[in-house]
Amino acid sequence: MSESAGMILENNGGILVLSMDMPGNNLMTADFFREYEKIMAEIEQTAKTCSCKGLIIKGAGRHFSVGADVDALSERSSEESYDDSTGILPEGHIKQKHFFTFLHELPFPVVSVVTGFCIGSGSEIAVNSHYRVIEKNARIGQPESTFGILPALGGAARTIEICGIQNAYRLVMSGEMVPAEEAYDIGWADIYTGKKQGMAEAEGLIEYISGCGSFDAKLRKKYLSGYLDTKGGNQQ
Amino acid sequence: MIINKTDIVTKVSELTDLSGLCSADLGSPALLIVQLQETASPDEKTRDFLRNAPFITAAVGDISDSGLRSVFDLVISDEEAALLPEKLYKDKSRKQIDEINAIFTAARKGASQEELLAMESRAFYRLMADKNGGSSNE
Repeated sequence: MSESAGMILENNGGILVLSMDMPGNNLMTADFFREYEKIMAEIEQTAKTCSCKGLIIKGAGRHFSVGADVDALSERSSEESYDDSTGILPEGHIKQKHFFTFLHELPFPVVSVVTGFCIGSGSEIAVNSHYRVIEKNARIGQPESTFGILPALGGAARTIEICGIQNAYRLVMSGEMVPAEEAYDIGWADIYTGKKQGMAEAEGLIEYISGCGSFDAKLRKKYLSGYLDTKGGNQQ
Repeated sequence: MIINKTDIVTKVSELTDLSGLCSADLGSPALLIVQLQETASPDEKTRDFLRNAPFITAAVGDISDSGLRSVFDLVISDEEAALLPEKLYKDKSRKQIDEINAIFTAARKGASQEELLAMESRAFYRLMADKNGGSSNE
């Protein structure tokens, strides 16, 4: 469909597949964010004009994303203007955050296929998706708190919604990395699967939801349950 | 009731009546850890106190009563009670802990996703200003 310097978007039988193939295992540098925002703008436009069954987001290589370059993040934020007395956030942040949180509002299911490391802002792409399929040996985490900050692209708010306060608090406050099995146990991941099985599960889930009629994000768990029933439960 | 306070954590033990928390001098912790003994589900006043507490609340023990579990943010084992504060708060400033706690206590009080998303953004810029040398980003 289109390729944007490391972001490859394809349409496979009505399912959009975004493969992130940026340097450093999708290290989220300024270049990464520029290409990410460009491709997400295209997806947002596509969603308005075509009837897609769903969107799958994955890493093109071994890892989903190793997260943001904290030094670059620090440098960027120091150049931005934020006045806490007004609470008005920098335009750059609002735009950047939109291209994470809008995934939640798309009219079709968004599934992140999580492999390898899925850390920090990388994890925030996943938690802003409707579903997360996690492969064995993946590791997830929101380590921002260990750098003196916190996740701010949905990583706190969405994790609370997904995992509940108890599990989200441990993830966000401790910043510890969590293996795939535990991510599934605490509700962060919806489907746990073997290595190289994630794409098939994501496609299966989207095809199942497509067969249910128009997508309603409020019925997220019902679709998942229905899909897992067709498979006889989660495949671990 | 025995109360042990540090700058970050207040631990309450030998509590026979949960409502005693409402009038106890708990200090201003980031985390309240309550060692529960056999106790009934909390009354409405205690529920309100825990729901509106400006800190994270954790109950320690093997609690089967779902009504009792639900009024605490965390339910942890005896073993975890000793280790959790270090695991959560190691190398973090009180300001950072409070900023993160504010999002979770707001969620507990029923803040919407939109409100939580805005809170995390503003907290990010306040903390990043400190990280960048203590100056405001403005």
